[in-house]
Amino acid sequence: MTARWEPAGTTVLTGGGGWFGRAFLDAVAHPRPEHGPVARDGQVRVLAASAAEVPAILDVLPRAVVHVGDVADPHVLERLFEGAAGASVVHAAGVIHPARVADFDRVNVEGTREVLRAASRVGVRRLVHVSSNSAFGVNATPDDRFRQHEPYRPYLGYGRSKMAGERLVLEAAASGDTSSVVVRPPWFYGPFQPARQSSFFTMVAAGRFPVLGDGAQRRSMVFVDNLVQGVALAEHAPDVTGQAFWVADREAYPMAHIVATVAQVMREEGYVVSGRRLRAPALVGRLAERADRLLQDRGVYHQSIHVLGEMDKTIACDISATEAALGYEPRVDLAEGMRRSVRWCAAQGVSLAPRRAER
Amino acid sequence: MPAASVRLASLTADLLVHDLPEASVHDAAAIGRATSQHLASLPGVTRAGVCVAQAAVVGSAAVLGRRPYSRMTPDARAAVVHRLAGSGLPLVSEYFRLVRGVALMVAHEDPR
Amino acid sequence: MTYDVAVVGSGPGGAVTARECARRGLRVVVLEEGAWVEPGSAEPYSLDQMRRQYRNQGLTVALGRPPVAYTEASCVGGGSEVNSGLYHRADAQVLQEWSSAHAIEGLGLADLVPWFEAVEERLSISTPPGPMNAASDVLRRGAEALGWDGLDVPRWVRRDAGAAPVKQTMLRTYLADAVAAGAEVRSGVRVERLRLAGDRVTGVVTDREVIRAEHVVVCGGAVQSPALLQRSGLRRNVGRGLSMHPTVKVLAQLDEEVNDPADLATYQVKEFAPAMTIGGSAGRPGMIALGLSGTWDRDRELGADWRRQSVYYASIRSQGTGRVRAVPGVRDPVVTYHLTRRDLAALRAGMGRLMVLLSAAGAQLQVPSYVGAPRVSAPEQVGPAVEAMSRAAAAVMSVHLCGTVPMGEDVRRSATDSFGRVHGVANLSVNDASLLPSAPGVNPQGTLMAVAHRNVDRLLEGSR
Repeated sequence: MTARWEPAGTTVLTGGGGWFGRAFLDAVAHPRPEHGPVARDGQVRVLAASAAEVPAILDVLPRAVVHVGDVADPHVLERLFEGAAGASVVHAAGVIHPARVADFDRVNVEGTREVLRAASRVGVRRLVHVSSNSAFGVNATPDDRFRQHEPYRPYLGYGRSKMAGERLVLEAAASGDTSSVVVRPPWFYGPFQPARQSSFFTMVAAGRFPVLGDGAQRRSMVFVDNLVQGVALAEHAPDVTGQAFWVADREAYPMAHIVATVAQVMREEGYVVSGRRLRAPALVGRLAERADRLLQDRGVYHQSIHVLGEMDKTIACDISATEAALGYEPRVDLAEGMRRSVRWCAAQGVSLAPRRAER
Repeated sequence: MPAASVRLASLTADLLVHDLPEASVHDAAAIGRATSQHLASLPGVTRAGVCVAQAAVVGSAAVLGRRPYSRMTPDARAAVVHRLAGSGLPLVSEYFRLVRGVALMVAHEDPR
Repeated sequence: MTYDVAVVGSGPGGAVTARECARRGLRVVVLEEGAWVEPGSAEPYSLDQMRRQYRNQGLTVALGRPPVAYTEASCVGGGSEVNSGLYHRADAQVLQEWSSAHAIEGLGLADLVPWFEAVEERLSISTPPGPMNAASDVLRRGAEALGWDGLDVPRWVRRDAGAAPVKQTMLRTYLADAVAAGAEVRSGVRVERLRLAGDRVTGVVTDREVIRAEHVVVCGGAVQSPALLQRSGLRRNVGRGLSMHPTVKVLAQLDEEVNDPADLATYQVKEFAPAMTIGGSAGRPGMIALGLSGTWDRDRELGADWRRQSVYYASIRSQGTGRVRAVPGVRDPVVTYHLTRRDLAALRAGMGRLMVLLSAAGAQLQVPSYVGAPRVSAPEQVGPAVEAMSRAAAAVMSVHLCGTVPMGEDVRRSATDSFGRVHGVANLSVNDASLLPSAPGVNPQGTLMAVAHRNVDRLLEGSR
């Protein structure tokens, strides 16, 4: 690992209104050690998908310069990248749970293509693309870990779109067009999380979150502030263009352990947590996966079925290349990360479960 | 040679008309015999399974060729066998998968 | 004449048993069903070798969906005469897993190290000096490009200055020692069954005579040993739990010549070990053609370029198990194996990684070995090629059969005690790979020889 670049004069962030986008901007506003080299004084330009997102963005980083528009619209991007030579670009716009399957392509593939085109035109210093484990499918066994180099085996529509996005980015790097790096977070969690993550807490507290099979299937997870660190390191490491990095905790946790940790944390935070654990046969996951495939083939996306279909699978990665090449070091562990998430929900007034004192 | 082995040798030679077009009729027959001989050492139960599959092959060939396998012309046999080998029919395609594997080994390994 | 010890089978397990017993002055007879073939007289990996030194001429198969083709040697010296001579010690983690799951005493790495060392010394275990062969170098290049761990696996090969390397088969080592110490080796003798009276074996019934011995040690390998026990009326926990390393293959075409028909790649990728191993297979033109047979209509022209081609494999530790069943009146046992859904997923994953590696090593063209497989000439074609390998299309093979006469103190799960002595029969032992509870993720020959040493040592101590 050679010395890191200094912060760029301009930062361009797409997907600024999203979960990761806001967490990233919050870290820029209030950098902590777990965020890595995220601090920067220069201009931060942010692309928001709609005007409705703007207040939430300015709320976390008042000095952000916010553009509103579709990430796949070349005119929007032309304005966003105007005079941004030498900028550091974080491309975090993407849809994961779309209204229609066709949105995967429009945003995740066409959006990436347009961002690369705009970045190349002005000549940015580095583009960091936020990808996903979904381009690689699932691990064959609970002990297996995805390495840095794996065959693309996309999981359904989202996976195919993230694969296509990654390939565009890596081709741009290989052709010398734009110095680009891919960051692949698996399941991430933390402040600014959308409602579907809050319902995870609610279901665990109520004893209704289904653990499929023996619960030994493993998941790599990453607290959003650790992910910010991974992205910030990828922005500033000179010699890693064309590479892709898993950003997650070192360990992949058995599903039963994740649920038990969340229950424990919530109990410590004063919530009423059911001692019951909902168990279901692994077959439920396979059936849900099949249903998800059928629906997606017909262009329909159903979030709960999609999530349930992944619940009996192991999705786990090895971060050793990320540690070696980027100097990545996850600072917030699972219990601490979950605690911060639960507290953030409480601070937002999200009711996760009854409080003990309320009884 | 038992009748089943003679038939296996003949089916192999028919298969080779398309699989190894450069092999002469004489060579194909020799490879067929060697393949049949080699397959005679299959473990008992597997060998019985191969005999059943061969019966299915001969039956299907008769249906496709509209006459018993033994009364077809060599060209008709080769055409029918070629179609059956690529048919994806259970038993039939597995039979030819096995025969083809051994025949190709024999063709490459045995001096001719 | 009555012998002190009758050893059934002359492979690595039987050879160790015979040598150790003979060296302690016991009268030993080794009964081998296969022929005596002088090492070096059959061309390695050839059809001729299959005919002369393999059981059923190499056509053995475990029935199932998909069926798993496996090979077993049948000759004096057993598998050591025909295999590629790659040596491994079992992983400490695997020994631990066996010990705890099967309540096996004295099977930690520390317990086995002295025996491993004894085996390594006798077999001249060494890594060849100088550059790797071209087929190995493909794997090394790929692994290095991807940052994957791997090594040039040591072999049981003796390298005397100024002489060609000599593979240290059982005939050249342990069996030679046994014969020098007075053991008698009879080839072409098939043991039909063991005659039992009460809790003792009173005779070894062969296809020509009945042989009497104070102690009988069965070393026929993971298929023949349980079959013989079953034919003799010993069925408890015998023949179940067959374990192997399901393997899938890919043919790769490189820019340069990589094929040495007399040898194979000795480099193995250990990044995913012991769960998954990537290595090289024999690549004589006949094997290349066999590898293409699933797509022969399209690919038969490729065979002409065999010098630039090599066959590589990905093998897994399998969750599935199989069974060996002796059927009355049928000479060969029926072998079945069930690949689980997870096994199939692991095989696909292994095949995918293998192709990514070969691509990184510069393979311009790859053909996975299964029926109807697509050609792969770019990395993005790997995923679809892997997904398309269905149960029906898969061509799965295996070597390294284990687990059919498992050892251990738990009588509900094991057929012998921790040292291979068959439960309930005072003078009968098993001493081969059948004892190992599962296929260990590496070639088990080194491990089974160390275990065999340990067992026979315990046996001789007990009889003193």
